[in-house]
Amino acid sequence: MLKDITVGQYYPADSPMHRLNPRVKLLASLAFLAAVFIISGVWGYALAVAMTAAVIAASRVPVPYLFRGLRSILFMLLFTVALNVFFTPGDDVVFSLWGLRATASGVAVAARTCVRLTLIIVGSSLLTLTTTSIELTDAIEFSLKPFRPVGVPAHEIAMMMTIALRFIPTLTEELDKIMKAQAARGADFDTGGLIRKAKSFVPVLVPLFVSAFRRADELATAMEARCYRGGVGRTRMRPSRLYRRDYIAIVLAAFAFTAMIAAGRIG
Amino acid sequence: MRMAQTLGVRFSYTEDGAFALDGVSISVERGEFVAVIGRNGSGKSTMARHLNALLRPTAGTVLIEGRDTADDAETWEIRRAAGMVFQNPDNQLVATIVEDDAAFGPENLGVPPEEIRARVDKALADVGMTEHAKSAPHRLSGGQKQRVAIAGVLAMKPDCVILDEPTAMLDPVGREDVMATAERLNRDDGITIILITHDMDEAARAGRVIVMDSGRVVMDAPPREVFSRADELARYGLGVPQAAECAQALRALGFEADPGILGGAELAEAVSKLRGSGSLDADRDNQSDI
Ligand SMILES: Nc1ncnc2c1ncn2[C@@H]1O[C@H](COP(=O)(O)OP(=O)(O)O)[C@@H](O)[C@H]1O
Ligand SMILES: [Mg+2]
Repeated sequence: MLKDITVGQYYPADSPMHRLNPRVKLLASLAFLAAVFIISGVWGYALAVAMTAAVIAASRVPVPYLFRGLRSILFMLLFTVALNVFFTPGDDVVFSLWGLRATASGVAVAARTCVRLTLIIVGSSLLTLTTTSIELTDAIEFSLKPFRPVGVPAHEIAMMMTIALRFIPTLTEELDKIMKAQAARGADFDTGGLIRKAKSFVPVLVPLFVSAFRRADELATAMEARCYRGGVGRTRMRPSRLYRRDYIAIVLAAFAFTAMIAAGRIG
Repeated sequence: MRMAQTLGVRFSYTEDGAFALDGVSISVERGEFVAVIGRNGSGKSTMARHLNALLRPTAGTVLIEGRDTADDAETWEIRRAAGMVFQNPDNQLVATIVEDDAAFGPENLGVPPEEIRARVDKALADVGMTEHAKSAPHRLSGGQKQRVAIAGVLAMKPDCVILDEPTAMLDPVGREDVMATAERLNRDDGITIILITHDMDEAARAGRVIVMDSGRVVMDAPPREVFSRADELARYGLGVPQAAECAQALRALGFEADPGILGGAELAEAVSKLRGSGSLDADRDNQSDI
């Protein structure tokens, strides 16, 4: 059960997408997500899908692997589609089921929503699949820097993310151990109502929190011992550099987004 | 100049509480390998934290390479010079991959990128973790994690490494890994090692043993001398290395065994002499008791 939790899953490969500067990737992904919300018309969607397909090809992530991530949201997708198909008002009834009327405009809205959601999920998965967590953290720190004057602690947020990513496996393992120990003493995590279930987790979460605080305390001491004093004056072993390929990617992405939005206007 | 020196250091965690350190004066020369032993709560960790400016004395002075830990301006230079490795290997690694963790210290010091790269590669090679440079820490064994922690300290180019019970949570293989690494750094690179341990066999491998009890230094001598005073050690809740214990048992049975015996090899030699002397044959019953 706990093994299914995958945060920021990375697919190791050597592809043009993997080599791209993580800051460029993060900003392009954000621009892509925004564009997906703006696009309209068949041609707009067709371009967005084509562009996503091109990026998938350039990422060398196997398609089945990529779409495995979609399984978890399949239910949400179907639910949204059903909701849209049957509850969009209109007179252009296509068919009816158990007294629910599906309208043509409903089908169209459902199709659009479906494509949008898929594009968003695939788009953001492509980012995490081709970017290691460290690169991503660095990119987030960089993207947040402009907001530092208004009090956004860019470095601290990035450091927190790094530590969280570092400790997720450790705490997951620990949680597993505590649950097994409690189960051996007769605790039952699988039956009973919601409240009963929640109650059975109290003896698990209390030791987990205690241990997490102890770890945090020790880690803070260890970081201090290694001369950590915040982001000021800090250097990085892997400074982020923009290469020719990154400039090309920026220009290509800009063109693609403009085309996506423009295509929506004419279509 | 001395690597580390404490002068009458007293320290209390609370305003009016008991002193965790109650007048500690020690001096460690460059290139020494010093073990610190003492029962739980005797003040070993508190002392170690003073040498790294993580704690400052309530009274007295701590000097690291002549720099006073009470001086805020010297804190970073002191922490660079006297690196620290802690007991729990899980709670001192910061980054999600090994080489990034080793880079953490020099990054904090503002070292230029190319030099960090070079230092990290060397540090990982020094502890034999080069092939795991890209691994995630949680995939490593305890001993490997401790070696990564040591590499993280080495990348800051320290003159001294303080290890606070680094082997306490490790299996025998991991323990030997860490001990061998510390010994190699001391021998080959001249790095001063201060090893806090509860394992008397590990302490016996040091050049000098400091015994602490109730926040005081109660013995400070070469291992051979410290461990020959078994009765005194017992008062401080401490034993002696296994081989020394064996030799002591032999002596109790009336055999001849040097009180200075510390290691397995020395014990084996002593026992083989006994066999030759024939006294063993005369006392066969007792032998089986050993
Ligand atoms: N954070 C703390 N707050 C209060 N008292 C502490 C703290 N850490 C240690 N002590 C006390 O200081 C004394 C010395 O502890 P410590 O240096 O950890 O000993 P050792 O490492 O030899 O086991 C003990 O009596 C312990 O209870
Ligand atoms: Mg301790």
